[in-house]
Amino acid sequence: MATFLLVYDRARGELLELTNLGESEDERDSIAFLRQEREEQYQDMDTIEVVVLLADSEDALRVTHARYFHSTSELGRALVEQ
Amino acid sequence: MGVSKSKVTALGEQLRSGEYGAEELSVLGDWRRGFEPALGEVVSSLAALEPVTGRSKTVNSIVDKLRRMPSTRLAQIEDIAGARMVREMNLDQQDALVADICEIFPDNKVYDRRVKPSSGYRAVHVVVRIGGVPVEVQIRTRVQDLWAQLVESLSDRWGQQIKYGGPPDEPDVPVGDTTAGDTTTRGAVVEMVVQRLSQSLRRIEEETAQVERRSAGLEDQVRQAYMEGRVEDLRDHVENRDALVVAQAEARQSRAEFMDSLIDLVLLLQAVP
Repeated sequence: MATFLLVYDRARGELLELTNLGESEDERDSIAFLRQEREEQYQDMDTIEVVVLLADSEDALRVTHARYFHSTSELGRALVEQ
Repeated sequence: MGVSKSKVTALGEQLRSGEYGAEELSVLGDWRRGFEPALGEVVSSLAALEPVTGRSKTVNSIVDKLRRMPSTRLAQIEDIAGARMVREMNLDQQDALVADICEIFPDNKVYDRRVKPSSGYRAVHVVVRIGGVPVEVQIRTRVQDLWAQLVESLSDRWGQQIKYGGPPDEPDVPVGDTTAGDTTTRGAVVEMVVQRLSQSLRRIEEETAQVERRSAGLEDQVRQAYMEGRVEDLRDHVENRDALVVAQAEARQSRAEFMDSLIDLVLLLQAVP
């Protein structure tokens, strides 16, 4: 299970950062450090979301957290195509 | 979880008031990390039922929740750690998946948010406890998830209150092709998605499950009657099958009509970033 760090601009619908931080349990401290660094960096911008996700692959993220990867219109279209 | 109860309570109040900085974010980070072993265990245990992903709540959503629920303390929030599963499935298969999860994690509480949707949101949530630490598992059909993602996306652009049934920021702003005069308003789009779309999707999912249930039941009855040589019963079952074919066609037609009506909405959504 890999850990991903995402930084997302909610107002513009733009994924600013997607980093695969790997699967190592030993990386927990550096992941926490990186997350906090980003949270502090964007603390005054409440439309910026810093999120850490656990997933087997980026593909799984694209399924369960589609809004980080698609526009509102694309999500609507996907619903119609269901 | 490494951070004292009183410190967590004080931290919650600081987050709620908006008066927090690097030090508070560091305490939040330490406290949130206490959920990671339980979250990791849940996601790993469910990995075979993929796709499943996990996350600990973002600062923005913790602050939003504390402000939305003024009497809730930080330690009372049950979804600091959460996992999500999304699958192409009908409502009965969703029930079966929930039952599987409850079997894997016997210390659980099920919240069926399909029964009483809040602001249109439908899913099943199971809060499981690993050594007392709560982890919320969201189980969504693909249709339920796409609707939820659509509403999240609209909330990102036009105001977080939309997720909780509120109107968008600047509800009278026109949406659509203003040069062609083919417009509506943000408020109308949100109403269409949060109310009507959710209700229609609910009806379609329920009708589909009902028809599939009848179909499976009928197949069983026909098989049984054939094995036992009950000719009269077989004749009845053929009539039932004809009625079922009509019901299936009606359900397909109603779904197709509904999806056609969505095309206008999709065109309007093209104006949203």
